[in-house]
Amino acid sequence: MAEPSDNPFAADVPGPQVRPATFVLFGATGDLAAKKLLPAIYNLAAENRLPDRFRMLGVASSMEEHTFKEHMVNAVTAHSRSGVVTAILDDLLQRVDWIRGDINDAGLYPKIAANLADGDGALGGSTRRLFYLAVAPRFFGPIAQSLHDAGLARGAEPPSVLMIEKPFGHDLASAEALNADVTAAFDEAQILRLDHYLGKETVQNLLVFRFANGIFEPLWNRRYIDHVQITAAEDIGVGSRAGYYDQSGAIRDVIQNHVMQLVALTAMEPPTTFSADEIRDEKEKVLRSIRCVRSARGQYGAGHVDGGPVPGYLEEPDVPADSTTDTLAALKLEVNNWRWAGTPFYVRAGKRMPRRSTEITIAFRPVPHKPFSDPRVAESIRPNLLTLSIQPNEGASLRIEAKAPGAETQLRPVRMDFLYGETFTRETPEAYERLLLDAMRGDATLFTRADEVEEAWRVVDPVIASWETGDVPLERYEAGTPGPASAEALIRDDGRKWRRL
Amino acid sequence: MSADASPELREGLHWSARDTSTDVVADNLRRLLLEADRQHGALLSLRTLNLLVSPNAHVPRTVRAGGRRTVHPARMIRLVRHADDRLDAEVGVRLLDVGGTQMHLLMEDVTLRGNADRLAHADSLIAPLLARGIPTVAWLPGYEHDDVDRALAEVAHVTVFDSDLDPDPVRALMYAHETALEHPCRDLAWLRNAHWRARIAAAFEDETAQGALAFMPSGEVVGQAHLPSTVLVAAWIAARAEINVTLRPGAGTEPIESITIAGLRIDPGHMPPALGAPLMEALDTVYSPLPGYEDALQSMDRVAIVA
Repeated sequence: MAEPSDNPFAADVPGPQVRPATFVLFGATGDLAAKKLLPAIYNLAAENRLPDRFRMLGVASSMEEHTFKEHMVNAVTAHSRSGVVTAILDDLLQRVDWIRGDINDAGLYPKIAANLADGDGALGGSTRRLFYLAVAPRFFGPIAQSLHDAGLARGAEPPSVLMIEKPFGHDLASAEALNADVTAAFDEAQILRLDHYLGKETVQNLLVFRFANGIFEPLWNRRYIDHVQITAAEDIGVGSRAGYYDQSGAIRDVIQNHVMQLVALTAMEPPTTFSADEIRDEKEKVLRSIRCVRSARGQYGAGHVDGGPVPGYLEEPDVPADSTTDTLAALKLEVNNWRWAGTPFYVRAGKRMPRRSTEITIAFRPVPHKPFSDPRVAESIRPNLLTLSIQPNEGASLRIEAKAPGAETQLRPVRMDFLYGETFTRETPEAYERLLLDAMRGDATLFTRADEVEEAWRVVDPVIASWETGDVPLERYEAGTPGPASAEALIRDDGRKWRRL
Repeated sequence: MSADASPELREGLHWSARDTSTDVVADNLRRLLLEADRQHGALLSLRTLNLLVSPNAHVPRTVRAGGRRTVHPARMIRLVRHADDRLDAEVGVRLLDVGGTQMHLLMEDVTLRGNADRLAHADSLIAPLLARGIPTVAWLPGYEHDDVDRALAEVAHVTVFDSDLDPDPVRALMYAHETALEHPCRDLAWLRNAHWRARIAAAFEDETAQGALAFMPSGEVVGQAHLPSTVLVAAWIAARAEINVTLRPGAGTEPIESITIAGLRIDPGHMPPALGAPLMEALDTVYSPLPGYEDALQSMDRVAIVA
C-alpha cells in the first residue's frame, strides 16, 4: 500500500498517485509486449497517467534500438484501444530506451544497473524500478537472481518490484520452487504476480457489489444460496498456443488461476479494510477451506463453430496425436467453512464451447413453500439467479419471477439488468493498464500473493493426480457444444444444471 | 460497447400534440414504450437517468461541448420556450444498437413547449414524467440562470452547468457558489481542469516539493485570468496549499499556460484526449461529492487577479 501522504493536493484527485518509475521490460519484443503491455503504456501516456519522471527500458536479445522504436510504434498502432496521437507517441518514444542482451548472460545486469542510474540522472531524480518479466517462467528465477546480484532486488535503493505473470508452476511443488526462487532475490512484498482477470472492472466490481450493497450481505451464505456456478468458456480452439497449452490444459491454464480467484472473491469473508494484505489474507483463508469433491474432463473433437467445420484438438497443429490434455475441466468444489458448508461451487472452463462467456452465477434457494394451488404454477417457479458477467459483456443481472398478464396465474422469469458499458459512458480501461498503474502507485491489492497461488494449487493438484491415474476418464466432446456428458452429470446428479451458454 | 461503434439510428416511434397536458404525455410515452417492446421483443431499456434540459441554452464561448460519445442512456426531458399560452409536446422512442452485443438501447426523448409562465413552474411539468428510482440530473446549458433553471435544480438530484459559458465570470462564480451551497452540482468548468489537478497532486507527491511549500508559500497561475475554470484552479491551489495565488493573463489563448507552486513549475503533460466530454463525465459520477470544488469556491479571496 501507498504510505500516508503529506500531499495537500491528493485528497481531491482520485486514487493514490503514481510515483516516479522506470519500467524495465524483459521480453520487450515478445507477443505479450506487443499485444498488451506496449499499448497499455501508450494509453497510460495518452491519458496523462504516467508519472512525470517515467522511463521505459526494453530488454531483449534481438533488434536494434531504432527498430525497437519502430516495433513499438507498430505494436501500439495495431493494438491500442484508442486512436494513436502521433505527438503523444513521439513524446513517449523520447522516454524509451533499449538494451540488447541475452538474459542468461550475467554481464547484462550490471549494464542494466548502469543504464538505470544514468536514466535517473537524466530525469533529475530517482525512480522506482518495475521489472516486468514477459518471458517464459523458467527464466523468472534466474533473472530474479541476476537482478539481485546486480544490487537491483532486495533492499535496492531506489526500491524495485518484480512483475511476473502465470503460469506460476505446473503443480504445488513447482509453484513452491518458483516462489522460493524469486523470494530468494526479492521480498514477497516486492513481487507482483499478475492475474489479468483481477484487473477487469467487473471483478473489482464484485467486491463493491458484495460489500457496498446491503441487500446481498445477509443473503450471501449457505442459508440463502443453493449453489454457485462459475463458467469461463471460450469459443476458440487452441490456436497457435499448442506448445504451451498441451502441457497445461484447461485446469492449469484457467481453473487454477483465474477461476480460483473468482471463487475466492465470491466466497471470501468481508475484509476489515480494502487494503492489499487484508483482502489477500481473506482470499487465502477461503482458498484454504476449499476442496474438490468431483471432477470431469473433456477434449474437443471436430465440430462446428460459427456454422463452419472446425478440427478436433488432436488435429490442431503441434498437438501430439496421442495427447490426453484436457481442453475442458469441470469441478465441484466444497467450501468447508461456517458460511458455505453445504453450498457447492461448480466451476468449469473450456475451449470450443458454444460461445465466449465468463460469468459467476449465484443460484438462490427456492421459496420454502409454494402457495399456488395450480400444481403447474408451483412447478414452474424457478429460483432467483444473480449473474455477474465478466466478459464479453461486463454487467450484472438478476432473474426474478413475475406474473404474466392475464386471467390465469402464469409465471414468467424476467431479468433486471445492468450492463457496464451502457450505464457508464466512460471507456473501460484495459486490465493491463490498471495493473501497471497500480504497480506504479505501489498498490498490490489486485496482485496475487505466493500463498494464494500455492493454496490454489493445493486444490487442483489432487484433481490432476486423479486424472493421471485414470480415475476420471477423458471424454471427447464435439466442438461448439457445452462439453461432455460427464461434465453435465457432475452437476445434474445433484439435481442442478449448468446455466445455458 | 466500443467507443466508436457508431450506433445505428433506427426510425423510432413518435407522438406529438398541441395544447396537451402532462398526463396525456405520460400516457403516450408509456404507450410508445409498450409498442417498442412489442415490435422489438427482447430489447433492453437501460436508462440510467432522467436528464432534464433547460430551455436557456447559449453557444459555448470557449469550448465546444460534446465529444465522441454524445449518447447517454437517459430519459431526456427537454423544455423549450414558445410564445403561446399552451403546452405542446413531442415524444420520441427510438432504438440504438449497442455495438457488438446484439442488444438494443432505448432512447426516450420528451420535448415540452410552453411560454415563460408555464416554464417557470417547470417542476410541475416534469414531475409526472420522471422515471422513478434513478437519478435525475438537470443540465443547464446556459448562463442566465432564471426561474426555470432554479425550478429544475429543485427537482433534480444533481445540477450540471458550465461556468465557463458565461462571459461574466463574476456572475458565473456567484451562481456556482449559491448553487453549490444548496444542491449537489457538477460544474463542467471544474471537471475541465481535472488533469491539471492530477498533475499538481502528482508533483507534490515528492517530499522535497512538499517541504518547499513551507519556504515559498505562494503560487502563480498564468492563463485566461477571466475564465472561471482557470480561476477555480487558482482558488483550489489556494485552498489546499493554504497560500495566496496570483492569476496573470497569458500571452496566448490557452485557458492555462503555466502553473507554478512554491517555485515548482508544474509540467502539464499531455491533455488527455477524452477531455471532449466533461458532460458525460458529470453524468457518470453524479453521486460523488466534490469537496475540492466547494473549498475552491470558498477560497476565491486568496486569488489575486493581476492585469
